[in-house]
Amino acid sequence: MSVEHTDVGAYALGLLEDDDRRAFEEHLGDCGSCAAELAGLTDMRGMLAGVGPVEVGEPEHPEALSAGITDLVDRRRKEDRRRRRGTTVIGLAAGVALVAGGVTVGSAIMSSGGGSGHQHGSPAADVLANGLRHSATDPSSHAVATVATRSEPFGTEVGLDLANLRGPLTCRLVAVLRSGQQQPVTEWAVPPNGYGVPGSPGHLQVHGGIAAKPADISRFDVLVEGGGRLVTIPI
Amino acid sequence: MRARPGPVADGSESALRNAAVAEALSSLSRPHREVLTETILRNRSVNEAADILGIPLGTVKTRVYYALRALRIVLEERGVAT
Repeated sequence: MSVEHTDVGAYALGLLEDDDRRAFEEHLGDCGSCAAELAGLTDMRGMLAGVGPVEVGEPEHPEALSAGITDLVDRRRKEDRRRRRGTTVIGLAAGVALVAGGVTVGSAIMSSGGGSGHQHGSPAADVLANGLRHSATDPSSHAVATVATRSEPFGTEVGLDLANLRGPLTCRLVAVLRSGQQQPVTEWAVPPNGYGVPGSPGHLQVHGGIAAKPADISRFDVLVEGGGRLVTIPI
Repeated sequence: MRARPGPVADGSESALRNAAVAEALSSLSRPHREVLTETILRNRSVNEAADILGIPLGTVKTRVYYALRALRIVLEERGVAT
């Protein structure tokens, strides 16, 4: 396999398959101009993440179109069978961006993770498995979050599962009540390798509690120290 | 890098930005628009897009590169990207 400087575009968008990606990363270590170019292109991935396919134009012949569709369906089936690794993050980012804020309620808990690193048996995993779950993907940061809540005598027990983010970051989870009041749930640091990304598949799971009742919570925000919001999970 | 939180981000802002990006895409040349559609917008690797488009992998990668640069210039001109 050969590496070209122009691969930086496909690399910036996360479009290279594993072998090519690794080869390009090796090249990147030695190539100042590619590293500089990459810095200018990485924003574009975020810009494109929420955009659906655009019309490419009229096909020359209608039959070419239907042949194309049949072909596409076949390929789609094949794609379904062989899951490609290393690029699943794009799926999360591009696929869900426009429907950020979808709600999933207490079902197959670990299906969203798939990777290693879930802390089975931890308090966070317990709430995530048994509580009322809500998920969201942020179209800008691409962070994927699931919050689960469980009513307790003291208020609400909260578990958070977070993926598709890289560090270093310091984050905190706050509950925003219907009254507008904020209650802190917990805070944590994200190491440079991140969570739920290629090379670091384990998700972050944290746990906390607030005094408010579940019915009084309007949303959860994951905030970043220094300003900014990683993702909002509407309840 | 990809998870760095940008300036955030109520839903309407990102919907507007998505619309601006879609519009910018439609101003690209057809090969550029096509290659971005068949890769990033349809969630395919360059290898898969090469199969679907029936063009060599190297061509897809180069085209993605030039399409991305062209798109960035359009977005900069329109004040969507900096």
